[in-house]
Amino acid sequence: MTEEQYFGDREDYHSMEELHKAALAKEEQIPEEGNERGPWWMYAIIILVLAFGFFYMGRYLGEVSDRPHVLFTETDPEATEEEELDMMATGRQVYTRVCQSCHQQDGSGVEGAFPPLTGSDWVVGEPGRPVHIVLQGFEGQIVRNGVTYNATMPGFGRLLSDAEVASVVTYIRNSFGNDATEVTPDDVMDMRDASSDRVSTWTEEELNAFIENR
Amino acid sequence: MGPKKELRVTDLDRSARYVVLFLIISGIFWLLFGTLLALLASIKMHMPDWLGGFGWLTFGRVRPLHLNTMVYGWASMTGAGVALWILSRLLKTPILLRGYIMVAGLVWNLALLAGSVQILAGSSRGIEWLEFPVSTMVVIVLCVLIMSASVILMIRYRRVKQLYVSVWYILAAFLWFPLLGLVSSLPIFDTPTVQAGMNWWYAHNALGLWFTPIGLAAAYYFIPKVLGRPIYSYGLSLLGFWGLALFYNWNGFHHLIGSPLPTWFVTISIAASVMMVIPVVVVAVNHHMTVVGSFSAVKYSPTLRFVVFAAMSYTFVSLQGSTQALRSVNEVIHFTHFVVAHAHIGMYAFVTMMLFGACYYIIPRITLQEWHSKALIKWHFWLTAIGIVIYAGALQYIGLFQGWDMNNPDVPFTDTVSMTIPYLMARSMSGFLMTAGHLIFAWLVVKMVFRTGEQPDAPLIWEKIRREFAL
Repeated sequence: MTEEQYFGDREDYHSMEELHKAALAKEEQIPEEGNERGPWWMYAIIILVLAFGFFYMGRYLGEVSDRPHVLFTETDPEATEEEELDMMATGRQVYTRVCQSCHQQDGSGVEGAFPPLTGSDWVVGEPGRPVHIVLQGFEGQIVRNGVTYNATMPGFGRLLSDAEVASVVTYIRNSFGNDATEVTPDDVMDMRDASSDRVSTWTEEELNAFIENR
Repeated sequence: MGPKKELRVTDLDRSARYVVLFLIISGIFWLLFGTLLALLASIKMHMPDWLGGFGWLTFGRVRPLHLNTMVYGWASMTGAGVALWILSRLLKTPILLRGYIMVAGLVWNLALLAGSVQILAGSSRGIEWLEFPVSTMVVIVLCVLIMSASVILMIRYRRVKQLYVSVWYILAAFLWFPLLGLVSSLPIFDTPTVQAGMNWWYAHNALGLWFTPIGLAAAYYFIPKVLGRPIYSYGLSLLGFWGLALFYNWNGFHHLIGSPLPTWFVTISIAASVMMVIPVVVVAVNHHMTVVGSFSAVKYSPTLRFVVFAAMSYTFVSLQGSTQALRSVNEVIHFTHFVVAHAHIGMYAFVTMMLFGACYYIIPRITLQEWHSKALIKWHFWLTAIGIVIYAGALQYIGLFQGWDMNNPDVPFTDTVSMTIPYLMARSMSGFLMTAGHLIFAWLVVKMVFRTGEQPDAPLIWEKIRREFAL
């Protein structure tokens, strides 16, 4: 088709405007869409992508809450192993963060309220006692070296991991002049299981009875 | 109401003339202003002392203003003009509420001006994509709402039965953007984490639910229109549209991997970003199968050349975005020049090139004038196309190395900065190419609209395509 045929005779138009109008008048509609199905690999991609999307959500959704979640910021396993070897350092960190405000930096406690950890027979004796006190807490009157202490210690079982409880107990058993055996995260895990139905804080009698029964 | 009088294309275009031209020309003004700011910001990246003596010309003001004028000036105003024109053509209805839209356009320009002064004076909101003061944003949204009303009325009083795929996208865009703009302006995002969440919800959706639907609407209109070939598949059009509507609005939080946002938020966002592959591949297949066989028409039609380049860029940038959302990739490329380049492939190689293509088709029809120079149109295309390819190539190449080195504790941070300098210079160079392209485009439009100089005595492009393809 030549230019002249399409636009008609050039002499019919006196200006570019008229020519445009003529062309516009002849402009065709958008043809109606086809109804092809598309190639097979497109459907393969769709299915693969859907599968990946749902797998990804299932695998990495984490906890559905408003809390920031640390699922993906764990340190690599090698580094974690090294840290676990150094229970005293971890224990010191936990102690500073959790225990120090009451039991004091040197473990001397506060007279009348918080008993000292220094030279305490419970701290250096059977490891179950300090571990359970850290896990579930302690309340009621207690007399040590002629001094009466009476304050409530909350349990930290929900806040601290097995490794952290083991570290902090190991730390207090080997600091402030104390010297006793190490407590491992596995020990703590066993003890946590053994007292899993315990929700309230311990009293002196209850704790003694519990330790003797085991 | 009975059958309405059939309106001819010439009548539709005549009634669209002033509204569409006003929006497009306003857009081009902001394009030139934004380009100047872009050059300043780009040069300052490798010449930090240059013009540093003027507070209002410092990087922290010039760069956000570049973004805001391009987004709310150029792309939004021209995009709105293009969308309204396409709608009028497809619905065989003149653009409604024209007087209100003219006023809205005027107010919109004034709001941009006021916002620009405020950013240069140093009172930016400090939220990426939302640096304009809330007042400016609210005014812009109200202006868009007037156009949304026009869109809804046009669909209500349409003279066709079927709604073509471009109409779906345009209607959706004019409903989504006011929602985004108003929600992001609410004074409820005052804690840092929540504000960051809102920030990326907004910014990613402004691209995905405002510019992308308008861009795709243009592609769906101009490809079959110029080629005279039907869109390959109605079914795929449906799938592509609903896929975008379903998945895109979740995408923004992939910018906040590693932030104190809840992990499930981020994970869902990443999954949705990957699922965007579905609508993107479907739309790409639909467009490709429509063009295939007539590909050589891009040589004759400037519209088709820009539109096909833009449609291919859309596929590329979207697939790249899905990859970038993955945590393993994101931890390397985020906070590097890679993402800057990615954003420009989206807003420039896709949205801006699409709008250029649309302008080349629309302006001759509403002004009844002819483009003055085929050669200059070619220059415009190649300067901008090569410019954005250099831009993206240079920054994404060095962005990868920058990312790897930033993750390597043995590499001092300053090394990761100095290694990018040659590539930042390449970016400035590509900026000059694109600037030249924009100046050519603006000159062509001005010459056409204001009818200066001699008119060419024959149309440059139309009949050539029709001869080649016997349409």
